Amino acid sequence: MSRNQQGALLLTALAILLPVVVIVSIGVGAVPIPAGDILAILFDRLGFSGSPELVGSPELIQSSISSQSALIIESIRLPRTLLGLIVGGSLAVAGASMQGLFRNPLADPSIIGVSSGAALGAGIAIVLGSLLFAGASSLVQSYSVSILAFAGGVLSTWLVYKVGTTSNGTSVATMLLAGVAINALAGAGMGMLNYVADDNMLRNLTFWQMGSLGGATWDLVIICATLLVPVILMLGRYGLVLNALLLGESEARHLGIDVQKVKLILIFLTALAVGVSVSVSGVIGFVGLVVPHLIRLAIGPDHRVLLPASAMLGGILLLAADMISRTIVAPAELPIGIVTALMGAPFFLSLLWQQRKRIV
Amino acid sequence: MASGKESTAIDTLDIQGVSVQIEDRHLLQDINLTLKPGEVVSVLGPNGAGKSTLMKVISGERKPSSGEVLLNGRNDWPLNHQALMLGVLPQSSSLSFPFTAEEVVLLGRIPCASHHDENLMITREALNKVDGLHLKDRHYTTLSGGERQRVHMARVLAQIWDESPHGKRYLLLDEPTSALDPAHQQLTLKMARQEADQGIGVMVIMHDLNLAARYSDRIVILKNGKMAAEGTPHQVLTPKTIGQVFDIEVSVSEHPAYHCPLVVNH
Repeated sequence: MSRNQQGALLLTALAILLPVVVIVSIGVGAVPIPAGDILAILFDRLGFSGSPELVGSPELIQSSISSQSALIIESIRLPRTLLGLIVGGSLAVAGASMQGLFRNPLADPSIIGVSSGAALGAGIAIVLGSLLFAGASSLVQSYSVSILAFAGGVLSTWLVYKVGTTSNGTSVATMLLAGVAINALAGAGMGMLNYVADDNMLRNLTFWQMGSLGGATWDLVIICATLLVPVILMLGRYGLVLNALLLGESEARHLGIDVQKVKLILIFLTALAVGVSVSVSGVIGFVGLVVPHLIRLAIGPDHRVLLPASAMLGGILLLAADMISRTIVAPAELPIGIVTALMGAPFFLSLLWQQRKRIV
Repeated sequence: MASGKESTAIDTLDIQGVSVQIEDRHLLQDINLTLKPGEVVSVLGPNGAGKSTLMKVISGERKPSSGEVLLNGRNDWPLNHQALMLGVLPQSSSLSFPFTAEEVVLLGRIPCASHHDENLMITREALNKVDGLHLKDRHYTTLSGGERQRVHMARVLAQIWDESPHGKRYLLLDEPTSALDPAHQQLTLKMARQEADQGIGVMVIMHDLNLAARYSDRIVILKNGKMAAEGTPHQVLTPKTIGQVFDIEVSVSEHPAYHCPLVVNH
């Protein structure tokens, strides 16, 4: 079987798996909901039964269990699942793009400091937001966390890229070291914010640093979908360009690609993807690193398959991690960042173990 | 700013008065050189003579401090049009992702608007030309240095495989034989010759004087960023010129089998 066929097969398999995982994710929780009920409620909500009513359609109102299920799905499980899908997909696509852009399979939004920069931005907004945005409009105030998280993400991406780039190209070693420095700096900044924060702010800060999809509301889902779905789709169109970039920047230029422009676009899009993801769900590590690796193991480094497959698998794995985080210590909830780190870090170590002979 | 000189021919790669200066170091000084379709021009010179810098200026990777390079009469081609006319093989490429050799060569077809099946056919023919068809399913990362060089050669061949609607095609090869065994060195230059015979202008940087003598129409020698000599192999490869440029003593006789000079080190 050629790699092209393998790629098509993988994309098909993921496209089938994705809705299944979505249904399971909606069904799993303190009140389990059977798949049949979920489908009936979802179809009803989407208007397939012809009823314009939201929850109170005649079929559903027949049993009180169904209307309770509908309420759980609508106000809790569905927004949370959609948020997980979008955030997981964004992080994985951003990771794949960054690994391609930096020509290094170990580049990842959290390793090179983008996530911690975004978290610091979010932290500043949480703790100092009332001071910083005192005179701003209510619109800016309500989005201040997202805005500063995005700014933090962009700023740290730019800094890492700038430090790592000379006229000879981008040095990955320098870039990773710059990432270590930014992680440390952001950690110190977070420490200071912790120090001055009150109890309520502290809880919020802890939430950002460990990640959670628990804050999912329809407002967040809509903001995320409007910003991130276009980003995922746009990044998905850079498959061929990223393939060419793997050869080297001057080689890509010889192949007719405006490398400088493409680099700026890719950095902007990945920073947007990571910044927005972190701003709504906190720091969720390892998704961006591990997912593209899993796909590459299966079908090789062709970004035309890698990008869409990473988006789907990222969504699937984050939903799986979220199900674990919701159920493993129920009725309490384990922050999802802990789950992804517990799953991802051993995988990352095994990668290093396999590659250590080649890295030297 | 396009040159208004009336001497500019349309179907050439024209290097006009190119100088490159970094602070007070002159990497290239007033280079004038024309590459015509159908000819093989070798660029020789000691290390640090400016050969690769010249290549970078021609490919547009580096802006000259003064002078300009006209590709088929223009210096302002859009990158995607230029890619159909100018194939560039760099000295070495850093590719650390496990593409197969065939996938690497397919990357050369990115600027071309042709269908996947056609691209695949051209890819295989290009690999065959560099004696690399048996490598097609091997992972690039497991290939030897010489095999990698041949795969990239095939990639560049695939890139300018078709006639371009924008003008004549040119091939810039930066030390394409540096990692190759003698048989593949001969093969690569024979292939460069064949490409030239099909109307492509080929410029090759190399170090082997006898390979240059046998396969070039013209030889250019650079030293310290200046043109030290230019002409046919017989005109350029003389004991005097070689002695001055490379600081070695050689004898030059007529090659017993081919009509070209044969350089023997003392």
